[in-house]
Amino acid sequence: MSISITGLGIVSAIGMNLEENLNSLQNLKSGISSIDLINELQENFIAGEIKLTNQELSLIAFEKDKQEVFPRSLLLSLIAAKQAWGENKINPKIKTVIIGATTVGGMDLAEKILEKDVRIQALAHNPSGIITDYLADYFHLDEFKTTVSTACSSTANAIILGSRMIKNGLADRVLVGGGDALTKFTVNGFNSLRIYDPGFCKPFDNNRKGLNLGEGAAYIVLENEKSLSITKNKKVVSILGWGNANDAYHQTASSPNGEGAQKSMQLALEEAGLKPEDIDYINAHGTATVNNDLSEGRAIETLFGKNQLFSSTKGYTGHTLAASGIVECIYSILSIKHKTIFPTLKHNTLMPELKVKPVINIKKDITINTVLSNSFGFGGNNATIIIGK
Amino acid sequence: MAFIHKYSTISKGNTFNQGIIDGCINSKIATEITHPDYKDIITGINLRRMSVIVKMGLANTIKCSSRNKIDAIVVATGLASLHNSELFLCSLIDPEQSILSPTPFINSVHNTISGEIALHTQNKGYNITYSQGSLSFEGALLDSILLTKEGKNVIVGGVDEVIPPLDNLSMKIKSKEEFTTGSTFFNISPNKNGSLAEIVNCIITKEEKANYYITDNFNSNEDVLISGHSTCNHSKKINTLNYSKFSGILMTNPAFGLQLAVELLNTDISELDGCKLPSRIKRVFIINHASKNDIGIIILRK
Repeated sequence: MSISITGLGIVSAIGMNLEENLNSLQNLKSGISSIDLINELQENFIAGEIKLTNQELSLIAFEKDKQEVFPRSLLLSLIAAKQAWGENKINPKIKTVIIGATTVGGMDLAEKILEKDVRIQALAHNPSGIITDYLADYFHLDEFKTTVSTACSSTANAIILGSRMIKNGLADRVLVGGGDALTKFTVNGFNSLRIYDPGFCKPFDNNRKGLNLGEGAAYIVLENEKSLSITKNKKVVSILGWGNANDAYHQTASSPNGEGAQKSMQLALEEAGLKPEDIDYINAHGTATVNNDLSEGRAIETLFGKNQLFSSTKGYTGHTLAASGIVECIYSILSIKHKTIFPTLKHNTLMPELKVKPVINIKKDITINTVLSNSFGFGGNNATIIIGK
Repeated sequence: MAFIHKYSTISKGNTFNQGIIDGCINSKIATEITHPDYKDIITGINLRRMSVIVKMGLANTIKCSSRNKIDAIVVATGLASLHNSELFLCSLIDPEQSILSPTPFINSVHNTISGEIALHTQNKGYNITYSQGSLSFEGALLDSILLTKEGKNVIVGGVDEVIPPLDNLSMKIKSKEEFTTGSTFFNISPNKNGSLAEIVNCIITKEEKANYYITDNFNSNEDVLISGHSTCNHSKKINTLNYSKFSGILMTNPAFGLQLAVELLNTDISELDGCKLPSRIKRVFIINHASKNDIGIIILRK
């Protein structure tokens, strides 16, 4: 049994497709800047904002003028999903399901409507499933659909469900991914928790002050052998393992030693039948909050030892919440394909608590066969994916 | 193989203690949602800061997991805590609020329910939340069936709440049933011994395919169909029980329908709410029409 990734689609603050994202990563170009498109924020925040209005995004998504108003997360998701789906066709012999993921759903529309004080219409945009509903209709996927909402680990968990459905014979092909737009709700929400750095986020730096949010969406296509034999799609890499565990420590914070993180990585190794030394590189969750980076750093050190290569790519995109898991899975694939570790940006001072050190200078021409990618969220929701050649 | 071992519902009537048939359908006084005394069930923590949906989910979980090692917690919610979402949204546009409280923000996040259940039951296993409108519970149940295939002992449930603007909406659309608060949870495992029912199938599909499927599979001599909608197409041909009439409208009420189905398979009654029942029920079909274009079907047998 193998689970092949065959299609990739991504939009983020560092590019509107895979090539643009790769180019920014290779040139160490961050997409984090002042927020231009959301008015009336409480403070001047910086974030990984995509500098296109909803109208401009709509034109890219539909390739024509569309009168209908859509949530920004839906537009981002549709653009990414179209790139991933590509020339795939519906075939009654291939059972194809769609699994989405989002945190904010249509919250940006809710905020706009609420300004006019129409409460019920505002809340009508809250349901998370609206994006998957739209994409399922758009791509004519009528076998099964669902949406995962486990905060910052949402898309990682969506990939896990898709992989398990293929493994257990419930699906041959899965369009899986998700997206989150920047909203007042989330920017102010993370700021109210006092974990939003007013300056650039500094993952795994001793002087880190918190995260910068970002926006984006990404989708991938997963296929089993039967599907591949019909679609003739080319395998890019495979999903080798996955883990999901709960930290059960605090509503929003991780345990100091990263117990849930360790368990989630351990489960992924077991599922993949790999040992810690088989992991060439870890794309860390690395949000740059004081709490996450200590907890995750300790978990990595405990399980993989002090020489493990790892980095956080949050400094390029900002923290794209539900999308972050799949965005970083795609970056991990780019690391394998282009033999490159994209470094942690803005890093100056090592954390004294850790012996393990993040990669802070780009590493080229390095053989990477297997990557582990972490996504941890509110509610103690930890998820890990392992991908490889 | 996925077998249902325990269930628990908080809804109209005393469903938490008496179940749906006795506590709600056969009870003349079941008009309001009846919350159990949470402080007797959820001990050792301050309940004041806990949102209603978390309390419901946690109380149901505790009832479903007694003397039982749980490996996974799977929660479905259509709208999560609307109360907290509204509270935080409104605080954003309130010029008086210079410092925002993070509490409603945290409580509005969908996975707060599954996260708090894990936290308060100290469960470090698999943990996930699904939100797909009116089909949220079917997604959660499908994952739970997968988890039992992987050998896991699972808690799965649905929870949603009503806030005043939704009341106005139900008046506006002149719906027979009111929007409501409610929650139903189950303990599902791969172990057949002592189980109450077996889940045969859980699918989400388009209406046309669903109609073919039901026509091909349903046997009115021995099967019962329960539906979430009074204008269900199949009701002309088949004796249909309408579960929304008792649960009220909430996005995760197929979970309520599923518990009703489990109870039907385990009682000896010939008629319920004007619907004649086969003397020995073989299977119960739970049909969810609440989504615009899709149908959820869950099939259960003893």
